[in-house]
Amino acid sequence: MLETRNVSKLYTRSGEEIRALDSASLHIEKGEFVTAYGHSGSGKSTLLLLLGGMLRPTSGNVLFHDQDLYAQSFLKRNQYRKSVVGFVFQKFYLMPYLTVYDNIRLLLSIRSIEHTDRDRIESFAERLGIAGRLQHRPAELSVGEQQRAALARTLAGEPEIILADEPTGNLDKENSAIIARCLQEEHKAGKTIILATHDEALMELGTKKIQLAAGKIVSEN
Amino acid sequence: MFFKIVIGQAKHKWGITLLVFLALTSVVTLYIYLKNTTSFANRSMQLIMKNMGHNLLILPDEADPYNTYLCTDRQLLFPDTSTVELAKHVHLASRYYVSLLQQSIAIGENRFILSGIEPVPRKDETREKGNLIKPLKEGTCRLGAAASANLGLDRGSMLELMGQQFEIKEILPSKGTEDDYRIYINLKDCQSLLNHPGQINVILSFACLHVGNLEETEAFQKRELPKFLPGFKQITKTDIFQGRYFARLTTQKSLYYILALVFGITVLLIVVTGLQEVSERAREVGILVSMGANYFTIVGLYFTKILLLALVASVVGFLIGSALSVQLNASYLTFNTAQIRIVWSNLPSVVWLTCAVALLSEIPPMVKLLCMDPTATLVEE
Repeated sequence: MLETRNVSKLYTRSGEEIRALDSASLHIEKGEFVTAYGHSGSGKSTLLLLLGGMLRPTSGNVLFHDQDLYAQSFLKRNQYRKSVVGFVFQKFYLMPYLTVYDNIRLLLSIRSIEHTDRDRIESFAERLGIAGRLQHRPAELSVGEQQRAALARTLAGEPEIILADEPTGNLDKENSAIIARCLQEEHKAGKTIILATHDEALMELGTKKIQLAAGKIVSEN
Repeated sequence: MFFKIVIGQAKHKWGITLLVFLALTSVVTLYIYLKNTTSFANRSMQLIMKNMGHNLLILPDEADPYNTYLCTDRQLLFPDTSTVELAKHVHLASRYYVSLLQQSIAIGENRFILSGIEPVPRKDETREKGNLIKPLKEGTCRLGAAASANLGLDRGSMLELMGQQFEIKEILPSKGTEDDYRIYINLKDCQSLLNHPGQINVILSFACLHVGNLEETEAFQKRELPKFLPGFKQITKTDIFQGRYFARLTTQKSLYYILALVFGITVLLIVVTGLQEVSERAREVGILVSMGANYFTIVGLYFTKILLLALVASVVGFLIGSALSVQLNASYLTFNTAQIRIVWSNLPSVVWLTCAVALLSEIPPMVKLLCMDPTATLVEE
């Protein structure tokens, strides 16, 4: 379903060339739970952004259902982000001036599924244990609650593919467990999960585990 | 949801929002204050200069102006129909014509200047831009300040002139010129008293600056007048002419340089704060893009916010500027013209202009937004 073929990504920082991803090839089937692990700077986040249609590779191809994402128009790629993928970031990235409810509603609004928003938002908030926090702003929540709110936002959009970049990187064990449970439930419901993590417990959730080092996929099992 | 984000962004960076709002309000306030004040001040200054007296004398070519200035017995006479002929030509710079027949007379031990006057309007003269001289009905008169004092007569009294009775309708304020010694009566009365039917000594007029600057107007008038009134010359009272010109220049133009300065600073402020805000919100842009929001929507958020700010600022600025101009100037900007007031007809153009300027100022920040990499702030490694 989702595939990278010899994908490389080069950045230039202060005149120095950094190879964030180096000829990475990967094949992900629908419904797979892929965990990507590796040291900081190994290319995990870059890989997720490439798969999410956010970052054009320097070379190689990213294919979704055999269609090259980056050969498509900006609008088509936008449509892909809008209707197929959902991101979860390590730092949550909730809009600070919106309540939790409105943060979730924002995504539904962008995805034009606002008509069912109240029930949908409440059910996802209930599921992630933040039902009582819907009218709070992110700054009024604990770190764990913020990440759960960010996950609720992503899940409410019902994406086909969830791209989670170190979602438990800033969390305690209890909150990490909640996030892990939720991702597992989504996987069981048929979603494709691609998770970049340092957390060994989360790593074990993957049906496919890939290890990255210096931008290369060094192992896949 | 769109407007919730716009309002949320505005409230979140309330300092920047307030700064932009105040800058826009200030520039609109200044603009409206200057526009109102200069337009009313200019009109009033022009009318003050106009009321200092006519700035043109029109005489037959052979007349020696000395006799006119000193009101001697050697003044030439010419038909009063000349003034009527002149008033038919509306493209001339001269207007506010007054036919004047004058003669030095003695009443008791004092000497006065008997002045028969008749304003001759041009068809394009409005009530507000009316003649310097108000007409006098037959059998009535108007006295200069010194004439009133020397005669010991006040408004409402009767004055006997060459055996005829005239009711004193008005005493003019002191000017410190020979006009203070004038006794103004209706031209026809004067022609009858002096036995000069249909005759006058001079046409008083006022040159307006509608054809350009001082020199251009004077040259135009000297070129055009003989075409319609051959055998006549004009003498410019340069100080009044210049005073009127400078009044226009100082009240109409120079203050707008200050406005241009404030306007430039405001535009710069919107651009700089906009660029700063885009940098600070780079991550939000990245998140919105990752959710599938298109750039049209994201850019629309910023344009909508600045548009709403400009809309409110223009109305607030209009009200403050208008109120200030009225409050600060109403006590004296009443001279011979409409009193300074809120000019509501300026509001739509001010709103439109403010919104246009705000939107144009927001373009550089939006170019930056479209050019930046939304993923740069999302990558943690």
